[in-house]
Amino acid sequence: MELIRGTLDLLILNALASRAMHGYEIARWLEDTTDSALSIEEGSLYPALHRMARRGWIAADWGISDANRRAKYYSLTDAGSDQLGLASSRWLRFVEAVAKVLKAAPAPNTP
Amino acid sequence: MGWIPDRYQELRRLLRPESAEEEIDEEMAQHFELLVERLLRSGMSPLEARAEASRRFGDLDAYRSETRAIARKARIRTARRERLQTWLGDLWITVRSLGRRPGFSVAVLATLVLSLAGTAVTFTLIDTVLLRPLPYSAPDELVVVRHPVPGLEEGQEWNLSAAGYFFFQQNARSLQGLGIWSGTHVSVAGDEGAERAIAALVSGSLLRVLEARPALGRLLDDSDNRPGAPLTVVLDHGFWRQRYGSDPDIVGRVVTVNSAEREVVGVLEPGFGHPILDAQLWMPLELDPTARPVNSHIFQSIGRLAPGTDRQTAERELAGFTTQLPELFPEAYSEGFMDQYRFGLAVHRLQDDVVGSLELLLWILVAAALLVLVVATSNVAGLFLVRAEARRHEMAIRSSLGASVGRLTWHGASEAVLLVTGSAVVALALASAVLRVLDAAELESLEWITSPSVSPGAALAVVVTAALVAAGLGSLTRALPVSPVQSLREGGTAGTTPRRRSVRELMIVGQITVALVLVTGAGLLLRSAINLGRVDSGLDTDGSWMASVALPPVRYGGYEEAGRFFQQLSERMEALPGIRSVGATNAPPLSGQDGCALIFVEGRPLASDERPPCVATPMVAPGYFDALGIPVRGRAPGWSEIDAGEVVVSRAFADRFWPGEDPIGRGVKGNGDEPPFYRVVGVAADVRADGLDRPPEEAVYFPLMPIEGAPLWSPLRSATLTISTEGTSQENLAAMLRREISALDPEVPVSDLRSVAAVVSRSTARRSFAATLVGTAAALAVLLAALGIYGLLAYLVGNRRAEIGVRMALGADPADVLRMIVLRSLLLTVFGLVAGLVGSVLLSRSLESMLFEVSPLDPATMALATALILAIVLLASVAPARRAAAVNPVQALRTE
Repeated sequence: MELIRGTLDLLILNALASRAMHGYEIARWLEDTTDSALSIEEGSLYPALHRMARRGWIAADWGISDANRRAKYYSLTDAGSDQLGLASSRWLRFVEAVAKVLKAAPAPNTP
Repeated sequence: MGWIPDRYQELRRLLRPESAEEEIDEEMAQHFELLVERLLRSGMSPLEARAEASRRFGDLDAYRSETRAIARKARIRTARRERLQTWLGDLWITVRSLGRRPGFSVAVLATLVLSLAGTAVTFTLIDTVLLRPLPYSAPDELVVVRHPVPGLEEGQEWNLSAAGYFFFQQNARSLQGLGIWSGTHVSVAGDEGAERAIAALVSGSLLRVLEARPALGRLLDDSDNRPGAPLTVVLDHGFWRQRYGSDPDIVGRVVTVNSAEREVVGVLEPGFGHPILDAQLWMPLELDPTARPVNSHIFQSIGRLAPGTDRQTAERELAGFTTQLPELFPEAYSEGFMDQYRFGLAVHRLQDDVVGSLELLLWILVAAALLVLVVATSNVAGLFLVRAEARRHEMAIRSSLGASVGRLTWHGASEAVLLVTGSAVVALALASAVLRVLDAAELESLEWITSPSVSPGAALAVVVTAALVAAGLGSLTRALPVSPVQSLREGGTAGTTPRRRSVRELMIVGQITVALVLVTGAGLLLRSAINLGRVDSGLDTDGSWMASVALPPVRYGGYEEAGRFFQQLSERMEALPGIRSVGATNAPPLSGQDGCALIFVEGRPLASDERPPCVATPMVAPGYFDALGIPVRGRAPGWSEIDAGEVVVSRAFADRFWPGEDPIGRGVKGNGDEPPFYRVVGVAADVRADGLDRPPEEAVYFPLMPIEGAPLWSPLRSATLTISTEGTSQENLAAMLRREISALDPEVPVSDLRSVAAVVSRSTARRSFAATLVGTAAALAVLLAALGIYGLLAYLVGNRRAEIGVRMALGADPADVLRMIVLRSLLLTVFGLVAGLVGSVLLSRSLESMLFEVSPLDPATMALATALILAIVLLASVAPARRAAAVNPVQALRTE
């Protein structure tokens, strides 16, 4: 399933809500959580991460990974969690509205 | 264990921006490797794992460059924010350091605020009055045409005659249009009684020349000027709004002006006004091109130059026409008229006519403000130099501790920038407050030069000046070398280099020069004002009043009717308690109406090349001399002799024409060759009716009624009443006048009740204004110069404590030390005074026309000004000198 535009940020913020992660961990978290249902090119995480860092939603710090290697950890800032709340409620409202429409009028040609 | 590389990385990132990009590479590469490892663990071959990782990761290069671009932008933004924070921090340091030295800051602020505010005010006035073009399209093309007559001053040039106007208008190719006008007071009837208004009587062409446009209806045209045309009027926009409540249906309505009904044909567009007159009504002159031409030059003119034509060309063409006038109109100009009068033609700029004599006053003010600005900025520069020198030691220490030169320079300059910016803001606020006060005060005869707010041009001038001052002060700070080694070696206190000291001394000399020029100028103006105050106007100002009335010509067409009105009015008024006498005239003293008429004296034939004298010929009703307290030797004609051909002459007139003889019984007449003569029955004491600074007026006071023959004046209708009272307040008098006049004729408006004392002081308002302003500027300059010299000496003494200590240890007397310091300041002062005297001699000539009974080179004023400055300088030197003399040698050497 292709990702709807603009939802990547929301997913990343959601991932970071539980704890600070580096890029690879985020990719794994997304894979596990969605049972690989979403096809995301993992490289696309990086422009998104840096963009959100610039906006102040997430902060980046060097840390030591489980494998005892140097890795850059991203964590949610206060502004980031505000944004997460805002974006997820907007997303849920959107999904709800679309679902209502689909329920009211079943698509033609469905057996 | 990990923090050293971490810190190292962080430092590296701070120092080398490209490392941030390397980090991105590292981060993404690591991710990729982890992905590969994971796939390997799931049992893929290395080749398969890499291919699968590439597929999952996507285009590594594309993502990398996208991310790098984002990071780069973020870095630029952060750097900018950090720079701003540093800058604000430095600014805050500057504010705090200024706050710690309130003396310095207040001195700089006050000096700059006062001088910049002065600049703003004077530049606004210049901008408003001189530089702003008249509010008409292509105002440079607008000119005024008049006939200069040899022997008369410029203000007394003859105006145009109707015949001359028609001839010029039809034939002049250098003008694209020419219009004529005259002003008059009229009474406009209304529900609440008559109202006095100012009317411009104009040719239709005048409105075309000024390119007026109507807001409603139409304007006047040439057909309105024809004799017998329906009576029409055009309203000024403001008058229409005020008096008729912006009635949209006004066009076609009939209003009663001077008892005649006139149809309103239009309303002028808002903002349009007469250039000279504050006209509320515009009415057509009655002009008949076919009428018999008369030698009556009563119309003022405004013309518009043809495109591409200059004033000189127009003047040449019209002057050529002027010489033809006697041939063209022999009925109007007798044979030999031109030989006798030789009147010529001059084309003036309308702007010059409107601004008139204000120009000189304004330039004087600007000069004064600029001179003060020079003194002020040089003083501020001196203050900054002292501070910079004093801080060299501190700067050297900070520099050797690693502060960058740029940052230190900025810190020094930021003080200047901050103080100058602050001063400019406060100065502009102060200037607009001053202008509002001036504007609200509605100074008589100065209303032209007020403006309610600082003009944009003046504000720009202040900002530019402030920027220049700030730049100058900033570079002053930068010019000081901050070489730590040198400064620290000097030991910090001996920071004065001889070169810099001589710069300051030169500034002091300059300040004293400027102060002396200003004090001399102010002194001359002040002495003129005092001299003028001593002049006896010849009028009794105690309980004397003037008021204006206007009789409608329709019912007061003849001498009889007009005369009867004034006789009845004065009889009724004089019967009231508190009223002593009541008179009337068409030309009250000090009203600025200083025209003249030709007078022939009996038994004094004119030589062939001699012109008859032109003197004032006011028309006065009985009671006039009593009301103004002018003593008359002999007698003044009363109401019973009003038509007996009796006149009073002024003493100045009698002395000129009958020196040492008795004027009583002599004959004088106006117009032309036909008798009869009027008989002199009294000689009135002299009155300075043209202004206190002018010689007593030579006048022949004609009665209200002419004798048979050619009358000099039309019946007295637009008149000034003169009233002397005893214990009557202005309110009571106003009420009495209104009651008595409306009992006689409710359609006659009375207005503008003013005391004669106010009229007299108003006539000198402009001079007092100039004296006050230049005096203020001079006081400011002297104060600043004194502060400057005090600052310099105090600073020198402070710096030379050690040297003084040595001298005194070697046996110098405190008196010697005192002398040394005072002599130093005296030397500077003498240089400044000599330069100042030279400057005064050169500049005060330009004041000449503003002076009264004092020469521009008046030695007493110059001596006094010099002495004043010398005294103030000595006073300013005493404190530092005494401090020097009190130096304790032991202590001075120990601190060193």
